[in-house]
Amino acid sequence: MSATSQTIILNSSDGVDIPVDKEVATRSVLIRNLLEDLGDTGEPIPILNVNEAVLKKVLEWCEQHKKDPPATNEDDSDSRKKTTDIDEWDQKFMQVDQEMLFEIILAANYLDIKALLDVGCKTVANMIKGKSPEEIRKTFNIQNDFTPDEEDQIRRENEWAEDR
Amino acid sequence: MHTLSLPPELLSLVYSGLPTIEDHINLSNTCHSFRSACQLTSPNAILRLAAAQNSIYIDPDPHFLILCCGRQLSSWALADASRTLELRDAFRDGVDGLLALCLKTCGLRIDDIRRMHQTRFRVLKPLYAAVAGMMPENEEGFVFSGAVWLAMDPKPIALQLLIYAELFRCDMDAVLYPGEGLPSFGYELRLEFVKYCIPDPMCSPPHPYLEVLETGPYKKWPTLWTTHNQLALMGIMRCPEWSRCWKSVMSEIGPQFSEPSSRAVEEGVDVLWEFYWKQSLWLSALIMQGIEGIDVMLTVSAGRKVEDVGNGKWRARLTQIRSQVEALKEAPQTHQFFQDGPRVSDAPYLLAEIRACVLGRVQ
Repeated sequence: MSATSQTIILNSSDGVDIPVDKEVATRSVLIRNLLEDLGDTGEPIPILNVNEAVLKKVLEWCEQHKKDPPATNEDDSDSRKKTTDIDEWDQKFMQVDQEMLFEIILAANYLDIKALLDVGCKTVANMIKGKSPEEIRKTFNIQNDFTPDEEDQIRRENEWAEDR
Repeated sequence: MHTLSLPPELLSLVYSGLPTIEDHINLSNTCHSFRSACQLTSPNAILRLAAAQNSIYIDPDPHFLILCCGRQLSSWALADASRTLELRDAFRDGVDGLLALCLKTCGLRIDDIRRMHQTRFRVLKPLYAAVAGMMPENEEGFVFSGAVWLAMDPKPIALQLLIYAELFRCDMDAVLYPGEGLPSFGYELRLEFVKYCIPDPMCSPPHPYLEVLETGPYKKWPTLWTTHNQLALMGIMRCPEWSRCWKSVMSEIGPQFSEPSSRAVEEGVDVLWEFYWKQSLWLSALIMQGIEGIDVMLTVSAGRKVEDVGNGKWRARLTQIRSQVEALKEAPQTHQFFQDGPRVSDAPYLLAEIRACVLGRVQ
């Protein structure tokens, strides 16, 4: 932590206080707005929807990316859709079990950290890439809840995609 | 914690991050929740997914996707002058530039892709076959060898014609309905399309009288491509079989306007336009109906009726177009590049516009 850094305290949903560099925490638009609205009271900031384990993981990502330039509106609307490339550090960071992966995505959405949300969604997208519906179901333990009639209809609708 | 615990808006972000349209379809076929979430994917994201797909679904690439977006792009660019300039700049980068502008400004729903796929089988494949049969097979009347023709793929050539029609149908409507003040692009923009999106060595820079930039398809000229797209389209549109197919549609709708003699046909497109403008305009107006126009042409050529397309809607539409042509008192204004040079009209007439691009190098 540098001499000029300022520490704030985040209080996770399971009641644990986590001290963190303000520069790191404000990668979250939610926390940045809270600090601007409430002022720096020195009191722990409650993070109602994120437990200690997930919050620490999210803050680890924020620490790594604290010097990244802020996302622009253009990044928000376009870049997510253009590529599934994820940088090497983020790929290793996302090597977690599926439960943690989805918790990180939910936390990134709640805390409004678009770049992390982007990485999380791309990671899931990469797990889906090139798989058949049945393989996707196996990967994510999804129950096939279509009736035989619905499956017939889907097959008819997708004839175009099977025609090569 | 499970994938399906993610709220629909986050599932839709996962969809947007998928690399191809095939992955999108596979995910939506896993269960009801993902099937519902796929409805939230934006049309622009779906278009990008389709563009990222290998060429299985979008053959020929990129023409097929540009065709899918043609009308949207046209409406977008008509909205203001700066957009029209953006469209012109995209033309100058060739079909790759045009696709890039589609990706920026247009979108597709899965239903649109499904509909276009049906169109591929009902209209495009028969069109490719018809066009292949109309491509000139020898050197007669042309300055290049038969070997060049044989190397040409009828798919992009057929789609160049259709993209032109989808983009510039507004110009034809503006001519047919002169009192309604409909917005249009004008012949200069159409020529930009012909120059760069129907590229041809005969139109390459330095051009004898048109401004043709060393951009898009002409950037790496003459090393990388040799396809005579303009000459191929000109050959097709001069082919007697092409005329016969369209005349059979015209006969279904009403009597011909005065027909040119075979001598007039030999004398070229300027003569046709000057003396037989109603017949020429009527033919061009049919061609400018784009995919549906070709559908009608193929249907009638196969011995069926116009009513077989669009449940009778197309007979009414074509009858209305013919009436508009008949009601016009004066030929659309023409523009000449130099004395005795080629003329182009305010009305889209692709044959004349191609001729304007290649005249001086080929008759």
